Formats: sequence, structure tokens, C-alpha cells
Amino acid sequence: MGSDLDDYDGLLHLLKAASKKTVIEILNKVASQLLRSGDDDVVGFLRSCLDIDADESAALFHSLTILLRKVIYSGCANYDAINAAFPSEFHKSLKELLIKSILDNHNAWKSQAIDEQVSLPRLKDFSWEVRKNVVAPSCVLHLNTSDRGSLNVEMSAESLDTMLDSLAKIRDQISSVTQ
Amino acid sequence: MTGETTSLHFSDAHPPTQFYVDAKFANSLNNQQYEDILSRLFAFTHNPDLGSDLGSNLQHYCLTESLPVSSVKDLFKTLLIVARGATKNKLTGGQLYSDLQRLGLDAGRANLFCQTWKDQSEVSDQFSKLDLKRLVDLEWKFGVTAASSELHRVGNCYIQLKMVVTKDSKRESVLMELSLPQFYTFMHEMETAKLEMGT
Repeated sequence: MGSDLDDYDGLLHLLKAASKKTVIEILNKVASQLLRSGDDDVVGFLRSCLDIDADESAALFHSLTILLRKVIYSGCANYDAINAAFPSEFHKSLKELLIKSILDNHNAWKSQAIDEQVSLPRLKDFSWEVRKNVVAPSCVLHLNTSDRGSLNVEMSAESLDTMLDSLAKIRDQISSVTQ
Repeated sequence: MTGETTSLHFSDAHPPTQFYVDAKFANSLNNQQYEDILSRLFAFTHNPDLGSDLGSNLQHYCLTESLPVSSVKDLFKTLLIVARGATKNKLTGGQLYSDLQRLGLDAGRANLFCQTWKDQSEVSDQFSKLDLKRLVDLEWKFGVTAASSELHRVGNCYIQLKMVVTKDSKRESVLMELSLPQFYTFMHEMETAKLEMGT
């Protein structure tokens, strides 16, 4: 199923790229922008990189986002799937280059999409120490979460046992689902 | 006989007769029993949440040791008042020791009390310095992301933990999400911690 050739017209500006490496760099930059909705001035980058004017870079950006959104969202992980995203009359060698680059980066982009997805604050890292207190040993857990930074939690031996019971239950749940 | 009654350090008030009775009772216990009571006492001062089980715990202990329940509970109350008074008035070990001796507690018993109280104070200090919160509850959710706005099919597992922590009677919830590898690492580390605690 081909796509409207107009949407992909902008891609032809990539032919002005100095090297294949440049094209790959452009793809990655646009993909990052898509997945992170960052503030990078990608359009400006396209202008200077390819020496094209404002309209041309806007058109290129538009085409690239359409293409990348489609292949990332649909999980196009093989040649045929990506090929199907292009209109049948599209520039052959440019298409081949793009397909190859998309194949190479597909996994990385998918991971990035997963990382950026809606979720609760993430656990960034943690450490622990056991304090052999006078009365009873306790475990101090240092947590570092994405929203509230560092947090220190103390657990008695009992609490730690209870926690481990819960963790074991979670592990069992995971095993039963991922079989 | 006149002459001033120098008040004790841990309290301005003159200690009730009961305290002397309790001190005598403490002297009559064997070493292990005295230590057991102290460990429960300071576990309680460190973690007041244990209070709900304390009564039955002491009762059970008395049964197994064939000790009179009311005497043990009275002793516990007295020692608690002394410990709290000592902390509140920021006593030195020496001051506390002299108070206990004046109540009639044997030297060895008094010494152990002071030492344990001192060690526990240090722990509490660290507790407040480090902004340590205590874990009281853990809830969790395990999920698989089916799809997202970016990906039609995701199939990504995640674990959400909610730790309920408390400090100075203030409860709060800490939410966090872990990936599968993170979860396994976390669990492994906690198992190692448990081994190190030696329980």
C-alpha cells in the first residue's frame, strides 16, 4: 500500500546530503525529536546541514516525521514492512538507504520510545547498608527516584522479610505471565 | 533527717516509691532476662510502632520465663520513663548511671542500661541527621504495556512499587516504577541484605 507521494517529496532534499553518514545523522536527530519532543531546533539543523532554505527544510522535516512515525509506531522491523511505507514510485536508491538506516536503528528507537513512555517516577538507582544496631539490626535503603531524588528508608529485619515476601510474589507473577 | 534531697537528673520530680521497687525487681532477674527486657525497651523507644504488640509480647515472655507479668510491666514502664527523661534532659552517661544507682539498681545493671541507652541515642541522632524514614507498607502492581502513543505494540513489563514510609508520625507514599531487570537486581540485593542481617 503506497502513500501519497506528496508527503514524501520533502525526503528528496536528502539527496543534497554530503554523505550517507549525514543522512543517518539526520534520521537519528529527527527520531530523537519525535520520541522526546525535545527543544532542539532540528529544522534549523536541516537547513545548515543540507544548505537548503526554510521552506525546503520544513518540507523535509514534515516528510521525515511522517515516515518515521509510521515505521516506529507500526514496529516495521524488516525490509518488506519498511518498503511498504514508501510510495512505489519513490526514488529507488534513496529509499534503499533509508530502509537500511531504519533497520539499523529500529531497536534503538523502540527502546527510546519505551523509555519515554508515560509512567510513574522511575527508580534511577539504589544502594543499601546493614546497620548492626544495639538492639536489632536494620537495613537502610538509599533510593534515587526520578521525581523526588534521594530518599533513605530504614527497615527492621521483619520489614525486610515482609518486603522479600512481596518481591517473591511479584517474581512469581512475572514468571506465570512470561511463560 | 533534714538535708536537701538532691533531685535526680532524669527528672525534677521526686521518684515514686514504685521506682525503687522496680529497681529491686530488676536486680533479681538473671542477666539474660534483664538484657531481654532492655532489648524490648530500646526497640520500642526506637520504633514506637511496635507498641501495639508490646503488651502481648511481654506477657508471652513472662509466661515462658515464669516471671510475674505485672512486675515486668511495671519495671518496663519505669525504665521507659527513665530513658525518656534522660534523652529529654540530654543527660551524660555518668549522670544517668548515678541516677540508676540512687534508685538502687545494681552497678552492672545500671552500666548496661547506660551503655544501651547511649548507643541507642547515637542511632536516633543518625536517624534524624540522615532524614531516615521508616518503611511501614509496600504495595505493588505488575503490568505489561500493551501499546502507547508511540508504539502500536509494546509488550514491555514494568513493576510499580508504592512504599509507605513514616517519620515523626507523618506518613507519605513513595511511588516508583522498575523495569524487569531492575526488579531482579533489587530483589537480589535485598536477599543479600537479609543474609547480612543474619536473621
